[in-house]
Amino acid sequence: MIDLSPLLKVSVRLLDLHDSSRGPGASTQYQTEERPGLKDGRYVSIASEVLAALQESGKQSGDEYASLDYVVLQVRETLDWAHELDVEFVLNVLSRPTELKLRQTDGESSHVIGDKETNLVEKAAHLSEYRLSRLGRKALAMATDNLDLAYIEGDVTKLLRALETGKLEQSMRFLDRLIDQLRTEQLALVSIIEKSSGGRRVLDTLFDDLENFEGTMRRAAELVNKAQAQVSVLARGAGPKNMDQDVPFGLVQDRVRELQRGIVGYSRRLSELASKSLSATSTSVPAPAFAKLALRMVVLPPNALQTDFILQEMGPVFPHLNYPMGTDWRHSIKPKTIKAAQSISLDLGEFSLPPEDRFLEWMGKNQTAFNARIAQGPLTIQDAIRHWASEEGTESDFACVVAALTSPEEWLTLEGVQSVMDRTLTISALPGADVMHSSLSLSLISPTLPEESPNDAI
Amino acid sequence: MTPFELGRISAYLLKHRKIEFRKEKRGRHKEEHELAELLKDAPQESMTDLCELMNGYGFDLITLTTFDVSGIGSGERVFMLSRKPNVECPLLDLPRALERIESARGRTVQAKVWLTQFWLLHLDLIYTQRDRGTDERNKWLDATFTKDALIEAMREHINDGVRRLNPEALADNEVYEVLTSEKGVSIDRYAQRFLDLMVDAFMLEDKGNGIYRQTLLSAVEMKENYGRILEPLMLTDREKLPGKGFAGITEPLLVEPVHGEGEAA
Repeated sequence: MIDLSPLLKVSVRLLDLHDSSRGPGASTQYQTEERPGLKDGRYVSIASEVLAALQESGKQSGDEYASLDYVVLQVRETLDWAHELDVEFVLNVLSRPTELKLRQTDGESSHVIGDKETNLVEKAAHLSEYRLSRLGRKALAMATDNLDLAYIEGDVTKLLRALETGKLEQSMRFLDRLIDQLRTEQLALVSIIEKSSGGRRVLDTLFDDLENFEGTMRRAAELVNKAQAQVSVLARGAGPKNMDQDVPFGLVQDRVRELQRGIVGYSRRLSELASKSLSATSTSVPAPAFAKLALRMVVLPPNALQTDFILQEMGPVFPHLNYPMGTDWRHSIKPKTIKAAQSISLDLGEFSLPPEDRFLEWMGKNQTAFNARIAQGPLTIQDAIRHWASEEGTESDFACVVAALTSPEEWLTLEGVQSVMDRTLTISALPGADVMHSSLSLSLISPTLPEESPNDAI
Repeated sequence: MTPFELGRISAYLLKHRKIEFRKEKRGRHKEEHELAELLKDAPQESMTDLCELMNGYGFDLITLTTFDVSGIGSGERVFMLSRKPNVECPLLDLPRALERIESARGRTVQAKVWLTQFWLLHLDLIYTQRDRGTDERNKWLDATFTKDALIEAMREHINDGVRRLNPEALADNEVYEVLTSEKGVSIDRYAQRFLDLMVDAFMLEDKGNGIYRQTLLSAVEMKENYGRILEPLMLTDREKLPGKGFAGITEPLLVEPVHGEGEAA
């Protein structure tokens, strides 16, 4: 029998939304609508049999229409109370195309369309013959798309095949669905196990065949192990050549591992549930009465030690304020480093001093001569080149003379020296070249007496 | 995992009681995410070392995944420190918690009474009244209550329970005196202090608008420790008076309402 209840449950909520007359800005409250029905679920039962019969007939005859008599016969095989008129009524309802208003988004624009393709059954023109419509077939596929965990073995097989063919994107879809399904089922199982603690009995009908179910999970675990091995094959690059490149491989690996853990955990919990079921004694074990314990503690107060113990073990407590934490020293402690011993004798090899050091060294040797020369009268750059840079002088000497004349403030120890530059050009001869330069001179100026300073006072 | 990383993780765990590895990084402490990554990728031997270290401190290191409890997404993990029952943890500081309830000197007894009573009544709201066993950790997401409900529960507890006890049988009873000396304003004040304390101690989560929810840590500790710490207190009663429980113990102490009082006048 096809279980139409999930479809019915989904449809009724969506239909509520479709038929809602709420205007924009109106209250968000939803007034529950009464759906009394016949209170016996008769027509939904007949509908599922009718659809099953039409599906079977369609398979056998290649979507040929089936007569009303055939459908009635098929339905009555299961539901002997179903009257022919009831079946015909159900067929009429199922073949009614109701127009729905649906918003369709086309690119950036959206508009409302009327969709009349809502009939699950098609009726032949002028005849009392029926067959499943396209939507009817889709609805049945949805109703039979069983997400029961009992079919996990098949789902994991699909995953294995997808991995073998290198379809990682498809594998991820399978993995997402399987993990989500397993999580939902496992948490439901966890709730049942937790509920059954304290000797509370769980429903016997929960798993009709627990042993068989455990076998299914064991086989599923073996298949996931194979999937894990297949992932290792892919990781070694020994998989198919046309492997999907868009999905990060590590992600697939992680998800397969998670699925493996989930299945192993589920099997373990099934065993736990089985052992709890055996030891359960009663179906009604009340939850612990904490308010009564509070009253009890008034009547027979525990001593200070007992209260401290209870609060320390289960109540709200904080760690002591002062105890060292690893993060306390972050960035504040640096590792100890051994300093290299200082060398006494240095061998500089081919190291050449930077120009400023060379200048200071050169000036150290010639400072006195410079001072004496300036004291005698103005020292022009032409004289300085001739004295220190021509004949036996080097390029370095020339550079130092130019630096000395252009930056006297760097080395001068005499007071009242003035630098003067004329607009005349002079040529000086150096050992390898002649240089043209402006006329630059350093000369001592006599200090200005206070009474000679210009008096601008009024 | 290096000893330094082990130290950082243990320090964080001791201070915050949990490290969550969540895919959603927004709104989470950067350090927590970094440590969660370390824990997630830690080799088995490092995890064993960390578990043993925490055992030495008096805690169990519990790792929960999406398959263990609701509220944890796929691929996510939660590592938390649960106090070991019957092992005193030297790092915990109860007086500091008591000061939050009553900061005045010499009022430790009052602090303990209010804290214990509020704590039991809040458990009543999230377990007893929901017909939830203490093992039902998975229901933590639904374990909510309001501040008003807690205040009302305390008021009812004092007026309908404690004040109906026979005062003569409870002479020199500190708990009785503390609760019955309440004149109507203390409950609100102590309730707020209790709730703030529980939130700061990671046992409750403030959901806003006076609504509080049990934390996963609280649900885990209840599942792990109830059997060793609180259940014996319940069982003591059952052994003494089989089938009667607390009602049986308190029954002789209740003051029977005097019918027809005032009629003689």
